[in-house]
Amino acid sequence: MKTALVTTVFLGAASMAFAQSAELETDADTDTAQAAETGAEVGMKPQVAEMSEIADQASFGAAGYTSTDGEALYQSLCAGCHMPDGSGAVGAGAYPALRENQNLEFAAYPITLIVNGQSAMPAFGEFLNDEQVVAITTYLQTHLGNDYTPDATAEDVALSRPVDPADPNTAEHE
Amino acid sequence: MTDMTRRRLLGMIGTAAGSSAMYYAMTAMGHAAPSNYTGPIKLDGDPKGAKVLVLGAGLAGMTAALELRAAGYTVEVLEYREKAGGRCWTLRSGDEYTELGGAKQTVGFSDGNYINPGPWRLPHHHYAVMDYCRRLNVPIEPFIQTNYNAYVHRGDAFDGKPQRMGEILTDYRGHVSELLAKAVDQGKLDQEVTADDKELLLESLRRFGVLDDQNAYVKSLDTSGYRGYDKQPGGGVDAAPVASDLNDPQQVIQSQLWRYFSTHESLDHWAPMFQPVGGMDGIAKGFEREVGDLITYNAKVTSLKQDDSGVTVTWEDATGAGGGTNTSTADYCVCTIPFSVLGQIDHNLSPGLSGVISSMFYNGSTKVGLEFKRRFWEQDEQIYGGITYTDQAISQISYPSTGYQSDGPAVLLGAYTWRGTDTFKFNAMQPAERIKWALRMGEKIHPQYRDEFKAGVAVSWHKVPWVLGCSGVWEDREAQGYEEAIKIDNRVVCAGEHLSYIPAWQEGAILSSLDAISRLHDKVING
Repeated sequence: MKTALVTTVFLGAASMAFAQSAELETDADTDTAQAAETGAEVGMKPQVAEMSEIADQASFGAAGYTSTDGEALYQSLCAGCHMPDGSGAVGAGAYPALRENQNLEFAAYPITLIVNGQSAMPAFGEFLNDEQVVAITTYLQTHLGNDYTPDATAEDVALSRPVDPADPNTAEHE
Repeated sequence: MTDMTRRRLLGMIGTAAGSSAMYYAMTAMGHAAPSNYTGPIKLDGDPKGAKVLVLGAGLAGMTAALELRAAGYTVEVLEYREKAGGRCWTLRSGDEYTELGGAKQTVGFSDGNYINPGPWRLPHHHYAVMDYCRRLNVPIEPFIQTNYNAYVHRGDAFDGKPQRMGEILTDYRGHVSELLAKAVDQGKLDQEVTADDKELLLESLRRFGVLDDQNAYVKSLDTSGYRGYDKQPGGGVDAAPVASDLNDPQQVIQSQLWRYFSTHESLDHWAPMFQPVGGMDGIAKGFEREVGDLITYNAKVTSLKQDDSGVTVTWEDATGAGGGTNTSTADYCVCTIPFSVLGQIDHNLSPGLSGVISSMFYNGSTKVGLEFKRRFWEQDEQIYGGITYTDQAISQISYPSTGYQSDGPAVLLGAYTWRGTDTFKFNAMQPAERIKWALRMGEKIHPQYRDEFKAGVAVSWHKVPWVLGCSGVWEDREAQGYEEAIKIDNRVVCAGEHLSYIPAWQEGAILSSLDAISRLHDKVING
């Protein structure tokens, strides 16, 4: 499963030079979509070229981030900015690479950032539970070219939580 | 229904009327008071050729450039992008857009079709934006925000079948009015309602809720005249109208479709709203016509330093073409670089300002533009502009406010997320994946999606290379140092939507800029 997931994610990245969106087909598998939305288990389905498995089976809303698998969480959340392979990105500003990143040696640092955000990065502590933050941190410490001894605990996460967390879904504008 | 308490009833009304949305809107806007835009800015006094370096050619930066040059300053503008406008941006046929991570999209829309990935509508009370459109000869046209014939949709309401907003709204209003009328009639609100007011209140409820003379909301040609008929009145033979059935109160309340009634009513969305003809970047181009000669494009600022004698900014070619480090100097600087980016630039701003810069997080948002071969929403469903709301992650479908009844492909906004987990979810996807999800969700409302889809483009704002987000977020302006952030820091003043009480609106960017240059000018003239 892990290999398959990584493969499809990389396939997804490789196919991102898609330019002819007109070629997209709306072959939405209603059952898959429905099941994904309710967070139900979905079996392996043949992948369309431009859809990674993790995107294809995405769930949204309250069911959006219920996985406790570090890789699944990373690829469906953190990878948006830090990229699927952890390489980060550079524009007018940059998203730091998490790949081979020495700041990940000890869990306290990534835990604090994931829970509370930092600089332009929003806080995720409002919708990730302690177990999920541990799972992401462990994934970061042991993947993406990092080879550290995972040392995250749910207690560390709980301690890093703010007394009065902000709600990321609060809309000041829509 | 009869066991519903008054407390619950009033709570429900508050929710439908958007109490929390209104609270945020009204506190953010300083209630419905006049804008602090009082017409074209007047910067009197001779700055004696003092030079101002403006960083960023979005609306805040170009407002500063335009007005400062007019006041006699020497102005230089540095812009990271290859064109002016910043988030005031339109993607149209043939445009290429590469997001962070490298995914490149070529907009496959037909000629003339476009999508505004950023701001897309202008409220009537955004006086500064409206006035600059007038002054810069940017033609505007109505933007259809409210369309009662568009849908409200929730997966768990009415078996997932989209409902016409006008039907649900009329039924909701009718049932609530009937309840309230009953309570008044039975004397249950005698403490709140005087005898004098009672009859007038009942009369108003009959009118507001389309109640009959027994204060009941019932199936009739009267109520059909508001919610739609089973068969519309016609002409000639067999032309008599047939009244439509009403949804029962429990169904309307349990559906929670009333959640979608409040947006249209908020001040920011009062009808009429407007849009620049041909795309939001009409405003950017209007400014660019005036100040384009001052702008250096593809300039990536790498450092911002000031001392007692002036400001020094270093920058590199943003296209990677090389050319080494360039230096621009000035007496003063108006910095409109988003804090998400400015925080990563080497600067020597004061600790107070630096603290705000490095602690402001940026909001994300996703928009997906979808082009279809024909206007099936008009041709099949009589929806001309306006917005359908859904509880799916796409949150809404906005139909084009122009080109009605025309043949050929048309573009609608097929997804618009604002903050929250769905925005993160879409951000972690590739553009094609976001488009695919917009189609999957949209076709639950419009089954025609499957056959009619032609092209799509998806923008996730966390992946927009020149801003890394959609807008700066204040959780608590006082605690986070808003007053510190807007101060003139020796020779540098920051401006932009992030330094306003109207975040993410172009009005905020312009008002912030006008205020910043007013204070800067005062300092230059009066010391």
